[in-house]
Amino acid sequence: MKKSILLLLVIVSISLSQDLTGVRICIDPGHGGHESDDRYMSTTGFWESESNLTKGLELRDILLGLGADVAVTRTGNYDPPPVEPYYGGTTDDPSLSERVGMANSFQADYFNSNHSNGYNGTANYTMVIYNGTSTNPTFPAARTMANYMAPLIHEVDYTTHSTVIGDLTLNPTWTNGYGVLYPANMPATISEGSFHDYIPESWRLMNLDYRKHEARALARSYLQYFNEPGSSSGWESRWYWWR
Amino acid sequence: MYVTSMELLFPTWAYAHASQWSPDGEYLVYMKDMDDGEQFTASEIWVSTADGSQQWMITDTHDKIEMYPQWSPDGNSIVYHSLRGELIETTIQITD
Repeated sequence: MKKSILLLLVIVSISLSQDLTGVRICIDPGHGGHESDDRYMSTTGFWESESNLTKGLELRDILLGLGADVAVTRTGNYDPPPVEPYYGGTTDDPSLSERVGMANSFQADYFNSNHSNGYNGTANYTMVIYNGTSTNPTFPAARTMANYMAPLIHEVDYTTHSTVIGDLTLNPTWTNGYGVLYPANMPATISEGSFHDYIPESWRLMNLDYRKHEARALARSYLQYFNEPGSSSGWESRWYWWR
Repeated sequence: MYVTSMELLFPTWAYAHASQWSPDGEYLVYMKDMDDGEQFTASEIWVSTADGSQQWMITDTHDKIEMYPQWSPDGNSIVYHSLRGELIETTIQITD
């Protein structure tokens, strides 16, 4: 009996203490609309736009549940757009400038564009990217967040390791950085959760529940970034998120 | 905050983004940009009358990607940057 009561108290304490009220977060589920800039794996039927959207909407629901104000750059994945008249762009595949423009207009405290990666079909690690060089980030807070986010994603995705990097270190010939990062007025990152061209991972990413694990890891990183208690990767937060 | 009215100014202008009013409210400056999902691939700076009846392409460069224009406070020039990191000021004079 004593054990039951103690467990209940711990649960109540954790549930009440996690609160992102007043925090403004903009979520960008990368790509969209099965278009030329989407990523498709014919072996598994994987579309990156679909996977990114599942993760983004799950993250939105978690963050709203924690009291945050949340903006999402797209909530659908239709191509062609279902709404007429056709304006030339699509609400389900905003341009990079539209995505980061939404974050700026929303005056988000933090902006993350969630993606999966592709390379040579054999790599499968987690990478979180921020604007600037690795040693001189535009927003040092973005590097701080990247250092929270990458290991938390690595923990739930079946990746080999995690890394964080500045976009100008990753692309040394560039001047400004990724189009969704450098115009941001706030700390911003791109999370490349895992590699969808690694076929075992591509199959895992076809599972909707698997995608949601990553959303939970992203939510944990926000709790850690905003110094909310119960955000550690210890058993208590694991129990809370995996209940 | 209460939104009392929303008007879609120029519904057929695809890819027109980051618009800014001129200081006198008679013109808009904006960029028409395109991307490949990762990086910007093209962008030019445009100015239009507030009613959209006239539009002028301020930049027409195939080797440069110009973005995020801003009017100068006196309305006589527009400042924008290129993806190569250049900061560019263009003096404009609109005559009848």
